[in-house]
Amino acid sequence: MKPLLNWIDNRTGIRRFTQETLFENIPGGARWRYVWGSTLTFAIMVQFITGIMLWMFYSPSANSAWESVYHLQEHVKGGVWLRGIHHWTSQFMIVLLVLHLVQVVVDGAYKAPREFNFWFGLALLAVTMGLGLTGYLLPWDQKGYWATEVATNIVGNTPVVGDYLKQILIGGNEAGHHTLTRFFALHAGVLPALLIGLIVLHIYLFRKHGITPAPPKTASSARHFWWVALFVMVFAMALIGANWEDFPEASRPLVGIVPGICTGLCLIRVVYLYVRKKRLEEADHRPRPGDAYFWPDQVLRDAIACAVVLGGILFFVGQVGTELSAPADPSENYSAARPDWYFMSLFALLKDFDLITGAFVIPGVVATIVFLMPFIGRKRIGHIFNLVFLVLVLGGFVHYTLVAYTHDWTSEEHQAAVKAAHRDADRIKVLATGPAGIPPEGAITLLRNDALTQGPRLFSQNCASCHSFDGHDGMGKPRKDPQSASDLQGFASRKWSAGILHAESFAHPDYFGGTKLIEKSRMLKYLKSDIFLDLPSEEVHSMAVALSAEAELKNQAALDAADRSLIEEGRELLAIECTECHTYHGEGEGIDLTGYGSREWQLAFVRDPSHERFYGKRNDRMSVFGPKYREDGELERPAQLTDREIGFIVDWLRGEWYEPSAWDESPSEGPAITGDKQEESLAAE
Amino acid sequence: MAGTDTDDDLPDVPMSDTLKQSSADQLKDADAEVDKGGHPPARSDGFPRREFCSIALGGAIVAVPTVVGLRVALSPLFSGASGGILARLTTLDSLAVGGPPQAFKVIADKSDAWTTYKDLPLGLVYAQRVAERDVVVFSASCPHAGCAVEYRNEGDRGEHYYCPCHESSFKTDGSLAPDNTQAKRGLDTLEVIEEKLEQGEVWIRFQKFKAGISEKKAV
Repeated sequence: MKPLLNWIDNRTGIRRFTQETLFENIPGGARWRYVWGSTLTFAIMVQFITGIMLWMFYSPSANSAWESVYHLQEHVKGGVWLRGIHHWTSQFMIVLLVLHLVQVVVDGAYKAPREFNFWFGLALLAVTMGLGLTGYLLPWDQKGYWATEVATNIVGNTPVVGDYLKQILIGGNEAGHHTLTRFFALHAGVLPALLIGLIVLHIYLFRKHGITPAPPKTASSARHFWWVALFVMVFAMALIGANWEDFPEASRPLVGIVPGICTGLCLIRVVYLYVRKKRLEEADHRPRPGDAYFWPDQVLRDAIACAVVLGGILFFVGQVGTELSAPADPSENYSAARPDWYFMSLFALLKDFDLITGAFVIPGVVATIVFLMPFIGRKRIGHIFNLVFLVLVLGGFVHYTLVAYTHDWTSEEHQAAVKAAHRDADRIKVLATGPAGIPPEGAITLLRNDALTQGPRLFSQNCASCHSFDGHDGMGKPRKDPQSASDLQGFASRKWSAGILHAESFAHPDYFGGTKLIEKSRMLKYLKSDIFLDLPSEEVHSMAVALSAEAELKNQAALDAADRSLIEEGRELLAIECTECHTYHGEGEGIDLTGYGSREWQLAFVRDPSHERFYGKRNDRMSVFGPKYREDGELERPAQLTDREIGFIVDWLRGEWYEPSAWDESPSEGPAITGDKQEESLAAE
Repeated sequence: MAGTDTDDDLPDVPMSDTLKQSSADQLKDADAEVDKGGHPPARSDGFPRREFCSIALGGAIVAVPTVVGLRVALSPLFSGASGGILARLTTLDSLAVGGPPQAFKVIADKSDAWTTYKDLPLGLVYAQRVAERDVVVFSASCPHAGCAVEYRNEGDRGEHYYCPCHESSFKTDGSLAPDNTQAKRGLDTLEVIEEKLEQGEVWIRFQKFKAGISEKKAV
């Protein structure tokens, strides 16, 4: 071993290099406050390892980026962890960078001759934020797409060069293939190269100038520190207490207990420092530990800190997971669009200030002052100014971040948007693993052709101004106008038809109570008449069941099959009781009950409720959604909704959409792809 | 512990000498420094606990992302061989008994990582009806190195399969031709689905085989 090491050493000088690395002098010995730089180096290393592996699975184009990330997450073992570690490490890096910056400023490590090192550090912060920004887009999901839309439009507003910058950045005028190829080149090529270069310079200068010795710990400095910590915590607790009502139920234990424990610990520490004051002050006069080398004490501390960071990362990967929302769709309003949390304060700033002030002037002034800190801090008063300024900036950061999040937490509309986004994200995964797989045009087509996804959207846009669905607008948002037509959840179900055959519910706003139809309603009169009230309840029940069976609802198929005789009985009763005012299987005249609630019936109804088959002239305010014709047969206006769109609404109301279990029962229908499935389909044939 | 040995195959140039010397001094100094620094003296049992912990912990934290990354990057190794893809070539009637081989594009549904393709051209095969109820299908992929084999019928050479890349050549029954120099086995036959043949259709199991060896081994 030794001859080989010598042979290598003679040609490379590896020994000297290792010694210089390990035996860096640390004045005053190893300390915990010096670990931040090492944790950052570690985090960057993790990013390089996981990033290169992710690269092997990633496809930067508008119809394959989301798909490739989805494939990695759902179909490659360990893929979730790989992407999760990369994602959460980036989040931790921002925190670590800020901690590093705070430590540097507090210790005065930015002062001469370390100005350049301070600036390289700031540049590293900027590059890391750039990496976060570009990486956010790469999965090409709704979240990344819309956040980037905002970010690139801000870039486009840069004074003078904005338009050119934006065009260069997104590779044209609109986001598309070239936005991804460019962002990917930035994220995996340009910025990492810059990062490496800056780190080399940063570490080189750090080694050249050595560690800035932190002022030695004394009993009084410890008291100062813990007093400040206690005040900060009490202030934070007061803020939390003042806004207690704004925190959502679920987060209260966390926002209450964690700061509470921290405050308690600070208090205990302060009390301890005063109780043991004399003894601690005596200790100040004992000789201090001398200088020590980087190896092994500081290395061990760094390694422990890195392990804690890694533990935190793994905790978040395992417990919180890494979001992949639905594939990007420029035509789909994504009101849940938010940037990563560390940009949330800037995001909130744009609500209080105009674009130029919020996105350029304020951040620019802050960045300039931070940049000038080495000069400002030459005198003691300047150093204090720097400290105060940093605390104010961080306070502002925390404040605006909290403002942004409390707004989102308390906004019912935003919560509904987030829920809808999660629904789409879950749904696309179900569809993508379905029998049809992901077509070459991309996964977004699956969502665009899915009744469960499109139905509620079209409902909220076209129907929810009068109707509601389970009390909301179909998308889970609360209604804005009062409900003037029926609540269509479970339309034509047994429950629904039972409600129709009951005077009280019939006149309820959830049925026809909100419409003009209810005035002078012959149906209501009938329901209140003795003829109806004298009917035995079993007969009414059988009528309701039979009426509902007309719809042939998928989720009632088993029930309908079991109650065949009851339905038969009910049909006969319907033919007797209702045909005076309704059409029913060729008998009577009036609103058609034949196939009531079936797909065909509903399609025809939505297309033209004023048709003689339905309300005819008595139609209240319901729009003709299909093409509208004049009496002479000429087209008055084209359709508001295409048959395909009406189909989505109807299928959704009827509960008919793709569910995975339906396919599992007949695997031979799907495309036979892998060896196993091939065997099955062969056997089936 | 420092490298003061000089049994080295390099001529001892002065520079490397001084360098070695200085390294050695530094290391010695370093040891001395550590010992007399403010640190607790080395443990009496001589076991370097802090050093050991640093290395173990450092190794462990680097191992986590590396192992996860490698598991994912090497995932192709963990997916089994594909059983081939069933594809319809043509009807039995469209092939004349004893006629020349006909080239067909294999068209089938295929899933490539995340994309599911409908009717995707997957490759080229030669099909020949050798008897009333017997169809032989050769993969056009040369068993030597995977170039596309061509069917030729020229002058005195007659009918044969020929690979334009490295001049492998095969008889019409797929076996190696006398003038073949490179291929180690005949053309690969593909399974023709018997049940489908009964129904008058030619279906094959399209798959690839390892090139360059004398056995036919599915990949």
